Amino acid sequence: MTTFLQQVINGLGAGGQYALWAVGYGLVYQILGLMHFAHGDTLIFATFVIFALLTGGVPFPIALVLGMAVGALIAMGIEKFVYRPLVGRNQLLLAFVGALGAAYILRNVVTLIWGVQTKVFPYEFLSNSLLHVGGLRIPVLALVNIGCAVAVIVAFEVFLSRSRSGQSVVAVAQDRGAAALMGIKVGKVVALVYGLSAVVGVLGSVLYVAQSRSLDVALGFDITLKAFIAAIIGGIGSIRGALIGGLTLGVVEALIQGYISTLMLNALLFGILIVFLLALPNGFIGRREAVRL
Amino acid sequence: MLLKVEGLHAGYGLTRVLSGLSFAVQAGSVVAVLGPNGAGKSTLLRAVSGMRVPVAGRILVEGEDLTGCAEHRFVRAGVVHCPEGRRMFPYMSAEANVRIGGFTRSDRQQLDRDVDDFFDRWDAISERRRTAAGQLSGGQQQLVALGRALMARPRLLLLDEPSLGLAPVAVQQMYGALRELAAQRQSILLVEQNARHALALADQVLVLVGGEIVHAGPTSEVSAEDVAGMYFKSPGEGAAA
Repeated sequence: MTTFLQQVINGLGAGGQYALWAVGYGLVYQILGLMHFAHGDTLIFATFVIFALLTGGVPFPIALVLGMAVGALIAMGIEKFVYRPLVGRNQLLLAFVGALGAAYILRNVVTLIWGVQTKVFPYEFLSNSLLHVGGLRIPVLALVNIGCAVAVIVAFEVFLSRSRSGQSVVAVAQDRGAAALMGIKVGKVVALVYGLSAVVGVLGSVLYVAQSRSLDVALGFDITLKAFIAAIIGGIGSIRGALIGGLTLGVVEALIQGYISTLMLNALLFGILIVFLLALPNGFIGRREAVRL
Repeated sequence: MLLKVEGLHAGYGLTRVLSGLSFAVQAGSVVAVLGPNGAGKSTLLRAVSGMRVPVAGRILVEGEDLTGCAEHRFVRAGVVHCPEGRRMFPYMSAEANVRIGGFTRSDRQQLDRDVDDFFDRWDAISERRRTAAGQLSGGQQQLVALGRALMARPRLLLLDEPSLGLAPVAVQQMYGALRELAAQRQSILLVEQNARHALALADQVLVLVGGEIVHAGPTSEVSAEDVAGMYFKSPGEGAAA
């Protein structure tokens, strides 16, 4: 029992990060109907920038904000110069290929600047201590992860449902053409969503490397895949679904590693993904199509 | 002049839909655009609201040249398009749909009051204001679409087929609402298939056939039968009518 609970706790800690990746991923999917397969590499690029700033002696909060800004700029640039022209011509499949292309370019630029070797991420800014509750070891960082994820999800929900610009995001996601007729500047809303997805995602990737302490360019594609799987499990485009999907993915991963085999992890995860795509394409709380008359 | 359209050409790709339309809409008047399917009525409204960039010609709103501008410029100039097929935001509540119509307004409190007033006025949707718009009936959706357009406080309201696909009772209700607006001197450019309803409401009528205006004049001078007869004329002879 203790082992089981310990695995669940570890899983929830990782799941918080997955939720942060999935929420941005789901939002950008909804806004253009496009799989943003350069998401993870954008985040890793920004995380390398943060790594460089930290190594250069920049204080953590400033480095984090600058890294988020870099991530947001890259995401908005990819949207504006790669996705928007292709989506505008109704070439969704080409836009997807463009996304993969952008991901590879980012990855190569990272290796050109920082080399291929795995970097040790300076982690001193976050406590690496453990809380002992009963027989369980609860990493403080896991609590930070979950706290960040819940705070971000709540903030997103409030922003989207209450604020004027949040409502404009919702409107663009549901009908871009009609949203334009409301006087909403659709291009700006799309850029805002891409920027936000990177800001939130960078928070997740920084928490991730702070825990593992190693920063590797290959992480980018991992992030994209985990965001994708978590978003599908939760119901793509649903904000709360991203939290549920992220936490579920984290726990399932931890249980597979604890009870089955670490080697089987990716095969089983993709198996689960396929089951969801086939049997539950709307995820746990994704919505069905509305009744249209 | 509230709206002045000069030599408007528009189309999709290589297909030319509108060839050289010129007309004007005076403030406070209701102008009906009638014509058979495929005459270019909806394309006309799309061009006048920035949804479709004209190939040639000019669109002036209160003398300001907005040709080629994006939709938000037209909305800010007071030209608000209530599109064909209603185009609800299906997962947003009826109330949120209506409220987002006032997106460009800065008087948030007055907007809240206007939203309340709108739902108080229409029993047919007041009980369903928290329902997702996608789950409303066609008539209810059309009312919500109208309210959404009105929240922008349009100087010129562009209405595309407000009776399309509605039950007769819902059509009556919609035209009741439009008569109220006309009585308040709301300027409207109305595209309709239903000539009888449109002629009863409008002051002026444009008949569009094959992308050209074959008749323009006061509604008092033509009947729905006259208009139907024009549909079968070739554009060239129509100009003389």
